[in-house]
Amino acid sequence: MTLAAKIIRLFLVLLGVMVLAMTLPELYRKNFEKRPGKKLIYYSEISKNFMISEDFSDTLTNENHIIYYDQTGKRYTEREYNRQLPFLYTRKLALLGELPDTINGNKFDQQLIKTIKRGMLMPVSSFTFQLNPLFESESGKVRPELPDDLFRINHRGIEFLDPETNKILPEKSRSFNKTLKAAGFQSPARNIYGIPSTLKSRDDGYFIIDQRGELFHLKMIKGRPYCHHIPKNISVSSMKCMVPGDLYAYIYDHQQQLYVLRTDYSIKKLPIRPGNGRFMYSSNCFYKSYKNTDNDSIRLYVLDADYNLADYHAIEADNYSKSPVAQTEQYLFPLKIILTPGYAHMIPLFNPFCRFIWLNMLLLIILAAIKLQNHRKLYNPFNLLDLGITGIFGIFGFIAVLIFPNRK
Amino acid sequence: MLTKIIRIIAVLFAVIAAATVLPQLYYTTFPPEGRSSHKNICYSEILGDFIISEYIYSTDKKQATGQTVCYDRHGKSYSRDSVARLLLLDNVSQLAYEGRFPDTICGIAVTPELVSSEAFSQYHSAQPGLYYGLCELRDQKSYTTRTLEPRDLFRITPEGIQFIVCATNQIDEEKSRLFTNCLTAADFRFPALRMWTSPDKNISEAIGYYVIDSKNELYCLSMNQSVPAVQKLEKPDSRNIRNITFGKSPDIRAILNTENGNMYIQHPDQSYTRLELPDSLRKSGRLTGNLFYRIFTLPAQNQQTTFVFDRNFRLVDSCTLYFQPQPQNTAGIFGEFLFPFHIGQTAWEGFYADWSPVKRFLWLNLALAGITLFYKRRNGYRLSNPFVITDILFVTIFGIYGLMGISAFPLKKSREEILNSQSPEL
Amino acid sequence: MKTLKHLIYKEWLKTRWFASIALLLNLGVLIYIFIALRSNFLSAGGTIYLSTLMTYKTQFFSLYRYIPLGIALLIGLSQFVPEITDKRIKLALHLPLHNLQIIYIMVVYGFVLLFLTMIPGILIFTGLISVYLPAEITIPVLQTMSPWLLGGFCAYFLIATIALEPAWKFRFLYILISYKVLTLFFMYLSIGNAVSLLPVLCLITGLSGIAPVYTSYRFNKGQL
Repeated sequence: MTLAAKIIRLFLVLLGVMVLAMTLPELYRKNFEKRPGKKLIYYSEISKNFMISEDFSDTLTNENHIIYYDQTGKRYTEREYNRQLPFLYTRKLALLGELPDTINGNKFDQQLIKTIKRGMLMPVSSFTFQLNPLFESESGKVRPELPDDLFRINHRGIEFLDPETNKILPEKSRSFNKTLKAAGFQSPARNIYGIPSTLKSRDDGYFIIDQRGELFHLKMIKGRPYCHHIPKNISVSSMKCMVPGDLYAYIYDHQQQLYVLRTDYSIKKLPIRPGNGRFMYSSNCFYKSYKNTDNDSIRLYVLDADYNLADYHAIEADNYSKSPVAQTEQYLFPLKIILTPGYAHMIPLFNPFCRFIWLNMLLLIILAAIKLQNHRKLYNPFNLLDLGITGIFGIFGFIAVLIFPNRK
Repeated sequence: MLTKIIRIIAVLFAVIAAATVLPQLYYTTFPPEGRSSHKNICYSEILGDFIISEYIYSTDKKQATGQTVCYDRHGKSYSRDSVARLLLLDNVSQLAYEGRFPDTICGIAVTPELVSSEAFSQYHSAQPGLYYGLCELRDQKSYTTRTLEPRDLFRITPEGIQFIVCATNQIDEEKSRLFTNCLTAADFRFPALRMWTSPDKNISEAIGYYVIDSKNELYCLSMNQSVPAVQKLEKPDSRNIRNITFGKSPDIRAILNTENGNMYIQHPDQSYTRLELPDSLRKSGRLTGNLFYRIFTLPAQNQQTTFVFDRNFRLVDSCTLYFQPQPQNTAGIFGEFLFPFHIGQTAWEGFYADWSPVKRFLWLNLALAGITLFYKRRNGYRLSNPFVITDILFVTIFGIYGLMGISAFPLKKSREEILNSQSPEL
Repeated sequence: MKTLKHLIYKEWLKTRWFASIALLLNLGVLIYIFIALRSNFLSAGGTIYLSTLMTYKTQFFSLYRYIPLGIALLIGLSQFVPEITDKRIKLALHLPLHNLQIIYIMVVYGFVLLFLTMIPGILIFTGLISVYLPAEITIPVLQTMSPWLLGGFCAYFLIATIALEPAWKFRFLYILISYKVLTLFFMYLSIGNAVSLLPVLCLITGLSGIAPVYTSYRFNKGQL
């Protein structure tokens, strides 16, 4: 083979390695993974304990038993467990007639139940349209109405666009630009955060990061622009705006640390260790809890109404990476390539343990034997490279090298 | 001969295909200009009459905005502000936000929470939907503990009821026998023709399933702490039941449609009230309810009829709204010349063929028929051949679709015809 | 020079009808997408249509997803299948040019034909939708369609590579690898998220462009 063909062959081998690193680990896992038991942890507002449930049910084996306990290890029956969590099992307790009359001195009625909010926080960066509707904040109507224009902020400043004609509205754009400049805004905007839908009870406007990284709050009040510079000493990576309450938004910085932006424009750092940045939050009028699940533990942080740490507990997580199947996987694959959600990136995840080295060595010896059998000269640089690829990439390299053979 | 007949069938299929696709493509490319107004109808408890609100787009094409005008059946117009005071039950959230919600409506003490909790909306169809015959029976007490969560699905076969365990795909013989015996004791004749339950998990848990056996009798099947509960129910009339929808409101247990189009409400005490609605054999409608009324809305082509019943399901009033079809632009008129008919499908009409006025498309059809005749004569087709006449007939009736059909599947000449057409040269 | 003209004419004779079908298919689908967009835009009104599009990230252009793949199959198969039946490529390789040159003239011809079939349609499409959609929407839409276009080119190069491979055992393995590689180009991604994947996809397309050099090795040695 010519030199060019040999070099191109090497690139094809690497392509083969990439394709196999994407396919084989996924195939292995899908085939052999057994669903781990579910562990759930919640905070009881009544007893101020952490309630943990462990689910051993498996529809495939018809097993069905769940155990309930708290952080001290004391066991509970299902009914006792439900009674400790009235915000979670409201309907069930109501049907059984076991709803509490009061919690923490407050009457347990519809108004209290309405204060429950649940959701998820993720620092995933995903594409969002940089074109949004600016609602009238004080329309006098119970819900905001969809306006007749959309705004964007580019190097010319803020521009209002009429969707029907696809043209800029010069008057409105000029008037808003003046207010933005007066507040110190430098165009273009890096990012615009808000809730661009009418399904909210009040419009809080948009939070915009300008060219320099400064944070501004933009609203339209009775047709007039309102822009306020929010002082901060953190660098914002992403924000998630909340439907109206005591919070405008959650902020992630570049280390995935969480902050809250409150309605008085103060930014408070949450006493929560970032971990992988993904949190399930649940808040009511007494506490706000944040649950983070990562590879080795489930951590539940409970904060009071002022976002100070009230309590904290962590339990060991039972997930795939602890199962025997995953342990075997460590011996097989030197890496796996995954596609990230949001902005698609192909990320190679290298196997931190070096257990696969045994398989690699074995495959290397087999490859050398095959090459010798085909009367190849092992000291040839390309053959050595083949052996090197097998040594590093293990089974992926071995298969790729055989699929794209060095022809004589 | 056979090939020629198959060809005719193929041409007809091509005509149907063209009649479905071409008008759609044409009207998508040349959509009607301007937008038709949106009409909405509500019943005012204060006025005792209907109030219609219409959102009329401004005639300026470039403007997105329009105006909302409100008027009653006699044409008297109202301002938006006064309408809000007449339609209290429909504007609870806005009035409560402004602090203008009154303490009593028509003499009854009300709060915004009470009025909101009484409002509901659901759909009911005269025709039953997709049905697999395999359903999940939830225990009435499954809210008390997780151990009563269902792990099987059931079906009712000619041999009896069978519970299939999902994990193993095997039949749970003991449970199946228990339930079969219970059903047999209630005079149930296997197999079941159809079963219905509520899509709402909580209502499905409480009521269970309404089942029709092979003798068209109605039963209620449910399970209470793993013990079967079977009850034979009275039917609303002697006819077979066509469709059942479970009600979202506590005063409506179920809505039933029978074979001849009658609609009944079943109350929680299992008595029936017949609704004075017109024959609704193929229609699906919407049922909304508030503190005072139960309102049925039945749609039809270009119109919608609203029936207002009181809480005892006695008819109070009804009103038909007509939606004007959009005024035709030039493209629409040209379309009527071009397309003799178009085939479409809607939820309440099923498949339909909409013919344009004959005087419009007849001219093009005759012209195309003339062209076809000329073409056939030119290429040596004999007019005495009945299939040539059929072709020309297709073009006359189906116009442009017919022309496309006969061009897609051309008439093959027989050997004699080819020889005859060549003979002048010999 | 004359040999070049003859070679290109031979390729044209093989592919002309398939390329015409491909061109019509490309234009037809893109124009239909535009017509449907315009009709929905006018009936719902610009405000509501754009707001719905941005909230739900509806991919109004998703009908176009596999069209580049279809075009690549039409042109690639019509060009290379005749070469490999009865090993007819031997005839072309008797021409007084280096073997690799002949093969690459064929591949470049196919690439240019693919380009002329797909890209003008996309440019027309961009112009048409820009009448109704602002740049903040048009650009992410094109970014989402780019992997499909690159996938078409990559598929064509892989067809050439696989066709030139002599042994059926390896052809089968390369078809498997090609399938997996192409799933990267055509998988579902939300609007605008594909932009970060484009550099990798361009690299893979470039690599597939030079892959025929590897499988056509035997011609380089003078073997046939």
